[in-house]
Amino acid sequence: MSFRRLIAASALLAALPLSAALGQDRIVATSSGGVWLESAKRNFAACFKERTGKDPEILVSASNEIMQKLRASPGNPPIHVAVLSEIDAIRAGQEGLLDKLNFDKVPNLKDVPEVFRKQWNDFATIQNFGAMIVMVNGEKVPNPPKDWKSLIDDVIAGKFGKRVSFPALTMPWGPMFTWFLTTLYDGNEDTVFQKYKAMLPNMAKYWVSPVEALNMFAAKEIDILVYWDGRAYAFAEENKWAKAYIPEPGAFQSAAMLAKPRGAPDLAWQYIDCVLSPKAQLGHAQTIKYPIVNSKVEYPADLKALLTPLDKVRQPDFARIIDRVPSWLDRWNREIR
Amino acid sequence: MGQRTAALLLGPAVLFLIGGFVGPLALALGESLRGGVGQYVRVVVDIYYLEVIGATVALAAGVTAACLAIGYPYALILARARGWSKAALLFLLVAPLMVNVVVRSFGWLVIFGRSGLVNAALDLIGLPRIDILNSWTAIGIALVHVLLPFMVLSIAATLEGLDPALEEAAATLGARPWRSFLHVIAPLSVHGAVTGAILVFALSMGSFVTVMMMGDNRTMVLPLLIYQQLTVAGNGPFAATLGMVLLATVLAVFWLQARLAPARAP
Repeated sequence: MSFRRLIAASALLAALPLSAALGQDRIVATSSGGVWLESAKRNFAACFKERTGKDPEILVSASNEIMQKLRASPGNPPIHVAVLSEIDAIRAGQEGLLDKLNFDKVPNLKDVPEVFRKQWNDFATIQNFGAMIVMVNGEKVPNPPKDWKSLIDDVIAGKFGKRVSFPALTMPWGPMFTWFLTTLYDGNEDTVFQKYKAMLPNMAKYWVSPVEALNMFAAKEIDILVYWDGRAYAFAEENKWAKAYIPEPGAFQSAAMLAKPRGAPDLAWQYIDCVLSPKAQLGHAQTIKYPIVNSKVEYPADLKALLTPLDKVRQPDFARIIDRVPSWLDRWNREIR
Repeated sequence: MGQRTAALLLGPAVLFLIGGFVGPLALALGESLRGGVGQYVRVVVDIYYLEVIGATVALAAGVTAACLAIGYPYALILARARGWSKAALLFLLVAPLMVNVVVRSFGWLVIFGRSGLVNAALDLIGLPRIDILNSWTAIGIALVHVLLPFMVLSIAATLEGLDPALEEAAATLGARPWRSFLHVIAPLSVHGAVTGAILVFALSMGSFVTVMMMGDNRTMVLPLLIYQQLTVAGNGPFAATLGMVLLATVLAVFWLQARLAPARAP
């Protein structure tokens, strides 16, 4: 084979995947792993298949990975329906990486209250949300503090020994938790950082990995863990020694955002509409045990009892958080050690 | 081999290296310079970042030294082993590489945890418990565990290439085994040790998953700062700046090593 022929053959091979992508005959949607993936297949993909006759490819991917992929190919994304963190969804919208959602393309969006998409300027909508609450070992801490401020003060006083774990500011929802704490202390972030610092000697670890955090609690290495409600209730249901509760005055909303990257095929709208459809939303809530956003959905009583009530959940002020994150991160690294 | 064939064989690797390293490097450099050199000044004049750079180099140097100390005797035995014992030693060595870094880190958490295997064993023999999780020690142990194969295989490859007649000659001339090792084997295996040290040092400098899982805020290294700037702060230019500083630090250490190594090598 001549050198020129070899080059031509290589170019042809390289072009094959591109031509397949240009066909836009399939869509790639993202999901978290485990039960989330199971729900995406059972509820969203099934609806999509029913409507279009096609199977979507569902990719397990974290928000930060998706962001890097979208930034690397603006306008020609390898992902067609993205599930992002709240802050990443705002950043992606601001960077021009997303298409705006509208009622023509996504009719089920009409049944999603505006509060679930307003802060994202319609570049994304919440598909489900949860809240960060407190898990306790009921055998060791039978009467845990009723409110967040008492909990924090008791940790500082060493009442639970070094058997407590709060989320670190450096985990993806850490800035939102920090924002929530500022709302407890009159918006004063200095006080929050003083509390973080004062809790440090009695903190087993400010956790970064959710899996590690739950493992510490499951191994009874810690007695108090600040964690997501759905997983906390599920764990408490399986382990009678564990309890989960919402300290007063509630918790911050922690959500999964649904968005269509700019340049994704129109077929992606169908998938998004499926995700927001009442049937798929209810199925999703039943599978993952987190609240969903379609107002037409009526939860069965047993499921409703497991979900954090909306009036106990505060939606973070993301515009403020995005501005503050770099300085909070810097402060966290320098002071909380 | 003709020049054209050589070019054809070399072409894919060169293109891969250029595409996978030089291209992204140029992009990162451009990103880091968006808005001038201010980000570099910020790193150089801030004692916090200098401390983190120092800690990153110290961790990598410590892990490299530990790998050399543990790995050299292992390589010596591996190079001289034959048959099933060689296969067993090799398997034992590379086994950590077969496990995902996150799973491996969880394994260490189980071993070093307060109710873990180490403390259970200490309880059993009546000794006080230790708490080394979230410390440089835990990170160092976990990194040595996974990076040891790179050191051992580099040294073993050099040792296996040595002519056995050299040792026999030394013995014939009256050298005792330790003297033969010190004056013949060790100097001739320096290149293998240097190669292993370069690999281990470079890989340690870039490690962040192990550091994140086994450490806490007191055990900060440059790659973890880069990860935080990208994923938490969303500050691409500063992450790129820190990336370039990390690269420059590694290159500076390699330059130093290159200046020192020829003088030592035979």
